[in-house]
Amino acid sequence: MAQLGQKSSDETFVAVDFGTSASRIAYSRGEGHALVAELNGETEIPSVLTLSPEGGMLAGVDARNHQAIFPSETLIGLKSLFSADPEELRGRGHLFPQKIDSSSDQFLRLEIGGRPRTPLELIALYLLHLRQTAEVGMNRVVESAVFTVPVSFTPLERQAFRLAARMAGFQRVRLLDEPVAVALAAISRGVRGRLAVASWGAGYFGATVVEAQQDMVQVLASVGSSRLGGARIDDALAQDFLERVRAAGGEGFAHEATVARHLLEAARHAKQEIAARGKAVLQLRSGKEKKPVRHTYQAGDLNQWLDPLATKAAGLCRGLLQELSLGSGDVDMLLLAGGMVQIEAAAASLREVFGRDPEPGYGSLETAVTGALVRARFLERELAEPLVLDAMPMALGIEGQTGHINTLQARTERIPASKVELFTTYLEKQTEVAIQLYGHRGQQWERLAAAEIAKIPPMKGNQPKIEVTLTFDEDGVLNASAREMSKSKPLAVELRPPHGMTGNELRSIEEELPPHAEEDFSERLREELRVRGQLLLGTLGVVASRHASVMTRDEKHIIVSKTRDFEEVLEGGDIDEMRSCSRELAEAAQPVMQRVLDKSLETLLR
Amino acid sequence: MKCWNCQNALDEVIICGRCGMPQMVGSFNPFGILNIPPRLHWDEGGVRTAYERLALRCHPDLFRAHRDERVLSAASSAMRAINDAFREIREPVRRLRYVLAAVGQTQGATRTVPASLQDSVQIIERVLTTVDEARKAGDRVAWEGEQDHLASLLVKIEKARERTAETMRALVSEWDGGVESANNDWPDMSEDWMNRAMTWAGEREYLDSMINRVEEAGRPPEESE
Repeated sequence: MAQLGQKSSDETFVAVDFGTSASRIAYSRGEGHALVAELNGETEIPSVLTLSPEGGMLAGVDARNHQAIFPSETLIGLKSLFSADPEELRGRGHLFPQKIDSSSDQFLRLEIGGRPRTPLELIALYLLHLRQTAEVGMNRVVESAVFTVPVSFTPLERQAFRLAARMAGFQRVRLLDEPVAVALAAISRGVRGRLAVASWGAGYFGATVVEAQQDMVQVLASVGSSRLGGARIDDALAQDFLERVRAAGGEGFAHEATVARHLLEAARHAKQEIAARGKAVLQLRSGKEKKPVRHTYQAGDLNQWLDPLATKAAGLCRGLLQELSLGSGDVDMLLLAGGMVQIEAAAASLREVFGRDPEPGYGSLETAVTGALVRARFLERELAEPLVLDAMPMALGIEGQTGHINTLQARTERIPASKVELFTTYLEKQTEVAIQLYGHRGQQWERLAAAEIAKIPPMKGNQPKIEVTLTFDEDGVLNASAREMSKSKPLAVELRPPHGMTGNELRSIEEELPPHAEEDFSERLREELRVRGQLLLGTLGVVASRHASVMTRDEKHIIVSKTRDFEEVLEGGDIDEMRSCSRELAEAAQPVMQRVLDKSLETLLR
Repeated sequence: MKCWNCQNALDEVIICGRCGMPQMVGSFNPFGILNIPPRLHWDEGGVRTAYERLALRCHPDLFRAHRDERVLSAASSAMRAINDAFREIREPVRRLRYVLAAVGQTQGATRTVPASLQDSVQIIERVLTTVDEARKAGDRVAWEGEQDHLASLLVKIEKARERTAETMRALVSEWDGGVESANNDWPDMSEDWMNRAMTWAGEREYLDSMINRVEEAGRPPEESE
């Protein structure tokens, strides 16, 4: 008999904010929380993954530090791959240097690390890096996590994401919508009432209204979009500058992919600089004899790219209030989080919709992950935290006979939930039916998936009574089941989205995952430290031979001595020694690595 | 019914009073699931309070620390039933519709134009068609030209809807009287009540669909992404 409040191990939930440009991991420590750092001390873990054709893998800080050297083996913006349209990625040209495998129209595959790989596989590899970083940083097993996800992740994207986390070794996974996580950060500080929250990052926009009571938080409804992220401005700025370089006769310069990668990075800085100071200069020298191409971008340029995004984001928020029959003054507090709201014009468009100024103190990049930790604590039955009742990630609709889309489940409904609908065939002996499902994330109905029902017993048209049950679980993942009412045996249903893997494909990958092995944690940790240490040594070797000039004599001295310490403990050393030696070495190497990156950037851009 | 976990006889459909385990439900009766009498009139917050109390006892997140798949799936299924129940009866109009469907009386309820709108049907359809065409063509001028007509249509339809609200109030209080005489159980209603309820449902369906269409038509045409 199960007993309440019983825990079977000390392993507890951590919180992970998997961001478009960087990720964060938080865990409970005493009354407060702590963030996991990479070996060099950074808690903002870059969402970057490098896979070399020889099979090597770098992630996080290491991958970021190497991206200038391996641009086409390095992926940035991993998170957006689930929602990416292959055509749109192709359109980014040099800004997206990975080859897109075109053998399958069904779903996206990228040629990277020697073979085509799915977004699922790539994201799983990155999440594995996050899990191992957490284990190294916390010195304990990490297998349970609350992950923040964009509101606009569709039910199938949520299913794929949860699977990626399981592939990365997370045994217990719970999802939390990003703006809800931001709300929880405020609620854990004692805020109550009706809160409007917008979370606007490099990849996604999401907004939600929640009602916070003493012991529970109810999500009233959310809206979101994967097409309003700030990275779109970086892309537009970089493309614009590339046009200018070409116009100045600078086409055909070597290492286009490297230039493009630097340019994206520079465009991101330029965006922030224009927002803060009104202008920014981009400059590129495309060859020794050629004179540099240089352009000054002004606030007006930024607004030209920002305004359409801000107008749409504001429109989504207005629709959200309308759906809840709320006026602009009907929320008690406004919270804004994410990189985009640091831009005054973007924040202003949201302030206007909600009719109030945002509460100060929630703009930091850590807000969402600390909010996700509130749910993590609740799941461990630390009941001082409130229960969160989530709402549907999107409205669910089906196409009716006239082509009009009928709402089956509104955005204001709570999950988990189910909905039963009856269908029939219209032809004699028709054995298959495809029901078109649509999702509404605030802007318009979009095709979500076709529910394909096969092996219907042959009957006359209109005779079969097919009962379809659509179920949303707590994480917003959709399941469909069906039966013909005169038979007891269930019918097979497949959920097929316009892009990406089908529901059954995802499920069969999940079923084939190797069973959870209880390995020796200290052995695992030792191996992880060894691999990371050797990687760092290899990198420093390259730096020493190719970029020796960036190191001061003192730095070189310290690195050589730390390297010697580290090599001594690398084989067979004590775990704590390995950890402290590799950390000291990484910290000593960090300024040098940064300078190598900056230097290769400087030669191209200013 | 017995608890799947401790075999205790259940007082509530959805959770065991003895061991606190959420239960899977066989048949869907939202009033039974939320453990409230099948009344149609509830104060603001009446159904909601019952919902919140159960959510705080059954939500799967309360049981995740167990790491027991059976407990989690029971809690998940219970919470799904609680959410589905709340969705069907949280709001008065949907509650009456649910009750009508449950007693098998909405099979024949087709959209009916209320008597007060009979004369206006043709005008309504004409205006809506013009506006729809303007929106589809992205013709903002033509769309704006019809907005005054739309506004006056909306007033007419809203008035007709207010009239159906009076009918609804009567239906609700007669039903609740029946619930009381049946000792908080489902009542047997007269054929006359059923007929009036059917007419109400048909008219209401028509009016709701019209309001949807008018609101849709009221949104300015814009180029899609």
